[in-house]
Amino acid sequence: MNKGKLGAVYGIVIVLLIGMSLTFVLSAPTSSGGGLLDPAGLKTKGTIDQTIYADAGGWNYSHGAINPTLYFPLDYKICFTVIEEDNLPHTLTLNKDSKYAPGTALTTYENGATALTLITTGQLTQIPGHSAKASYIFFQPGNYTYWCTVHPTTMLARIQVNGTASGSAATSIVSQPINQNSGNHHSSQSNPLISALNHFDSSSLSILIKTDQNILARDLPVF
Amino acid sequence: MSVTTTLIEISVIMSIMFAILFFMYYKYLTGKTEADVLADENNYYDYGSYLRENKRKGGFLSTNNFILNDSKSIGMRYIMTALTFFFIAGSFGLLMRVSLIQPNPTLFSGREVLYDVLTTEHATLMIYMWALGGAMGIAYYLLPSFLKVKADKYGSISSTAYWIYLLGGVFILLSRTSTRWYFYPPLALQLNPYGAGAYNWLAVIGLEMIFIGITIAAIVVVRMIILDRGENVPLTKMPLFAWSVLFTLLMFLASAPFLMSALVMLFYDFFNPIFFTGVAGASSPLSFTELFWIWGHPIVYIAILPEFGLIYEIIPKFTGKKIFSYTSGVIGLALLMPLSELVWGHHLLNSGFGLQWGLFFSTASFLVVIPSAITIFNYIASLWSADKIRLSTPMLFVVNGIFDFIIGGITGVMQAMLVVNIQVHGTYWVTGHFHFIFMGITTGIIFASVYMLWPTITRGRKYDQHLATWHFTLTAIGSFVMSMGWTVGGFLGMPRFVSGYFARFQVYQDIAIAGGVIIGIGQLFFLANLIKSLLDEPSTTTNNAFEDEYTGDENEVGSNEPEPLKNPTAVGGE
Repeated sequence: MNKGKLGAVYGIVIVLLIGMSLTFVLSAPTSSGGGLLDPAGLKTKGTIDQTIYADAGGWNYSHGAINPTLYFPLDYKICFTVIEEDNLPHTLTLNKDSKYAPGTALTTYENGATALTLITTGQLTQIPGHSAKASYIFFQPGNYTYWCTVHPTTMLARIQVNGTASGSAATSIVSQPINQNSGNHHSSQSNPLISALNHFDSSSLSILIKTDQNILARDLPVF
Repeated sequence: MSVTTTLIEISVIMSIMFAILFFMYYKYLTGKTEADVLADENNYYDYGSYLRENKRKGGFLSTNNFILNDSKSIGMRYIMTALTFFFIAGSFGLLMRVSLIQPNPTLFSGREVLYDVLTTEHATLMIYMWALGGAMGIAYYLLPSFLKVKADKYGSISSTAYWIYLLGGVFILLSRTSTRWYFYPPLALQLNPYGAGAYNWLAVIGLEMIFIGITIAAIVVVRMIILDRGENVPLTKMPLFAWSVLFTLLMFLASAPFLMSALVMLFYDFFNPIFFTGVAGASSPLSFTELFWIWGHPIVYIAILPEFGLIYEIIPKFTGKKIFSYTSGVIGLALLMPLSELVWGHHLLNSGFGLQWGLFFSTASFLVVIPSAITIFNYIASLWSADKIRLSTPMLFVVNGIFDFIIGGITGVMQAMLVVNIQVHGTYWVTGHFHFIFMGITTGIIFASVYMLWPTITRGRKYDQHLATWHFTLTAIGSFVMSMGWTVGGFLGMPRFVSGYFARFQVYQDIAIAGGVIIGIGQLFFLANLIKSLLDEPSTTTNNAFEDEYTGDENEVGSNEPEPLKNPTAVGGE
């Protein structure tokens, strides 16, 4: 029985299998480099750029307030740009802050399985001035923490994500427009609208009006 | 009609359907098939044995291998699966090497996690699908002939085990996990929808399925060795390959439950993290690492022990003499079994579990030298006392395997020292150490066995001597160059498992890339050889040199001196 053609078939099958496996594995979704692949069917409302400086002394150590609280709206793609300020390894890691109590200083973070490291030490070079990008979408309103797993005691700060447009956010959440130096304005938390207006006078005006989406990003403070 | 009524009706209908299905299954199990009748007429114990003895010329690519459930067909399935996964996982490894052409990430720049995915897939598939699958395949194929097994009635169980195992391997490939082959939490528990670890749960399920499949197959093969041997094959004269498979599978059955339970706990942690993360003061990732390495050290012996046995079978075919010492061969293999269970801690010497533990595991690791040296000296004595050694391709693989195992073994003993371990932990030194052994012994000897089985695999074709020599030469040179580049670079501190490196390690990475590319090209010669053989007309019998000794009418296995290669053409001789 001559089944000689089987040899060619076997070769073709092996080459096909190798090609399919490589294609499949290399098309894996990855979160680094801003190459975020959104889950199917998810509609984001827009994109917000957020730059933070990584320094072992604290986030934004030599750029205004240290460890600023970041405010983000819901369902926007947040593109973080981490710029290295020293020659030490850092990460940008996020998690929910279930123990949040208004008015207290942030000392703990939840470094469990649910923590998400957006930017790993491998993406940073320990060269001051180098930057790495990653993005994330906050689906749920609430309080989050972001920290560096290498320097968790100094580089630890909050993120607050406001509620949906229907206004069902928890009372503890204070909505503020996105701003890099918003940590300066905690005193105006009681009135976000005033706070928002203050920001128009501040140095970050150019950032806010850069795109239409960023204007949209600072709408809808919810109480 | 109320919902309750509908539900009751549906459940009654489903019960009846299941009863009918079960009845059909019962009839199928107890029914006398055509094969049963044939087996009865030909005085065979069961139809599995009949199929094994009479239908086994099916060859490598015959669809009969996937339909018939005799041991030979199942062995061919495993060998074919192992070869396929070897090419897939090998292409992953080659791509990793090529991507390290520059210190900064090149191919995966901005998507460095892909490097981790490739590392994980390469390691997991190579260990479980190539090393373990290849050894299982050769055991299933050869042992019925070696042991003159009468009964072959667990074919359907073996078949089920094979499909579970294959599906597990495919799941691991589909999961695109990036947890490295040891699945450490909390990394293995990452489920974020953006990362390559989104399907870590699938990898955990896949690995568990591989374990279930191999456990069932191991029980079947152990039963075959211990209970189903022919009357004229006493335990004390069993071929050394059967001994090595027995020790391997007992080692597997003794150590696999630790990781099987750890994987179940890991899977539970996806939903409710209590075992390895989550509960402060109670759950620790270190407990997973301990459970893993109680399995993780035996697996690296499981990947080489059957090959040690195969070397014992191959050498007499090319020297024309018996192996130097049967007893010391058995003792060497037998000692490796308990010792491998004692040394798992040397993978965790830097995890901070204390100097006393470190001293124990370091000392135990040195003891492993004794059985390894017994085995290696047995090989060397067998070659030394031979009048003439035929250096055909399988024998070249064996010689290269002994050479590589000595280098890999010595580097292994060096890193078992506590002080050296701190220096080389997590560097390419370790990668070089185990690639010396895995390329030399595991890969080389499985290829040697495939060359020995060539006329059977390809239905009576001889392999092309020229292509086979190229395959051997490139594999041997490439693996030596690659592993040596890693070993030297690793000793100087080159960290492994990362998609980049410091520029001062450029030369060692370049050496390793050269070696990796040479290996990759070498495997193409094997593939070309296989395709060329299958395209040729059959030119010899489908007997193979492995089984020649055991298919005669001798009363007792091992009683006669092996003749120097009854069938030289079967191993590509002149």
